[in-house]
Amino acid sequence: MMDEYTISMFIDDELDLDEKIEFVENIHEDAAFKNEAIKLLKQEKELSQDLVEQIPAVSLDLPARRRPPVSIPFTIATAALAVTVVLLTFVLLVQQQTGPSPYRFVLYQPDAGRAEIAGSFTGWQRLPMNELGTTGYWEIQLDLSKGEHRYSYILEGDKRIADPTVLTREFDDFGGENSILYVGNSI
Amino acid sequence: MRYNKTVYDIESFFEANKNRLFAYLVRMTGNADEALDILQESIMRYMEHYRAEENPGALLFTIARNALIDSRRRRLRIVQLDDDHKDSRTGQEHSLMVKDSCRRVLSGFKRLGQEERDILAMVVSSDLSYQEIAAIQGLSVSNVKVKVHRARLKLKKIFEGEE
Repeated sequence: MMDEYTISMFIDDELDLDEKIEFVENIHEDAAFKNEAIKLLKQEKELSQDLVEQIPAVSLDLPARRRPPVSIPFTIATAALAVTVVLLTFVLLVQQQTGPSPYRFVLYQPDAGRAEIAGSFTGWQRLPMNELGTTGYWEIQLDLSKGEHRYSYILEGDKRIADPTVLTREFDDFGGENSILYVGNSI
Repeated sequence: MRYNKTVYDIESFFEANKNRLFAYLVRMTGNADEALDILQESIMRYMEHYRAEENPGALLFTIARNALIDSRRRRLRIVQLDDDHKDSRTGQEHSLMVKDSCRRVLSGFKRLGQEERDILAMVVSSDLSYQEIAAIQGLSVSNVKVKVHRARLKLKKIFEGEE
């Protein structure tokens, strides 16, 4: 008896030749399996109908192509302008992605009277964190460059703790634990 | 003519991919207008960042999926701020734009859970393999196999309940 989901694999062209042989044999031997396969194939015809054709009110064009025809020199100038804009945007984005971007550290320590952060991005200098009213949360926003950073929090001026929300950690030479944060690109 | 070639490349890329991507977005949103907005945004995001990629299809779907999630978040905020106009875009406008023949399908998709809708919409709309879809969804291939089939069975049940 084949797994039922091979019907979907058949529909989606995901079976290899051996599996196709087994599938066809199974269709012949098992009437219920055959009926289920036929029903799902018919359903698939409905599911995969051409929606673009079905929704005629929608015209799928790039915004630029909706403009009326214009003279050729103007088209070239427009094209050059469009390319410049795309390139400029790209350059700006690259700069933005490689330059530092703001990152917010948040720590929940309702019993602490003081919280600081120190890490590779501060040159291991301690920076005081701000208490968020009486919520028990402490926060600080820092500009971080892309890549790997190490840090820990310091409570009451002498108690070092790793970030409880970051699971990647390492021990340093002084017996303390640092959190490792990776800042990457987002799509 | 380097400039014209660039413009031509963008257009041919758009031409080659717009229908599949639009079909995925309509199945996800059930709304042609919203799907069109996200389609435009996805193509723009793609052109700005990722033109050198080798597998543009899979990447474009990843970008569209993220653009869809962003759009949903924005919409959620708007709805929370302005409850009176809740669902104004998915209501009448939708029924005017969508012909009867695909309304049944779109309402069926709407009744699926978010994850199964996403996977099935992608399988049906794109020519991506289970392996590529698994990578986009952050699932294993065997997981995708099972979930695609379960989504089809669930739709079958929904459609049978309507008859």
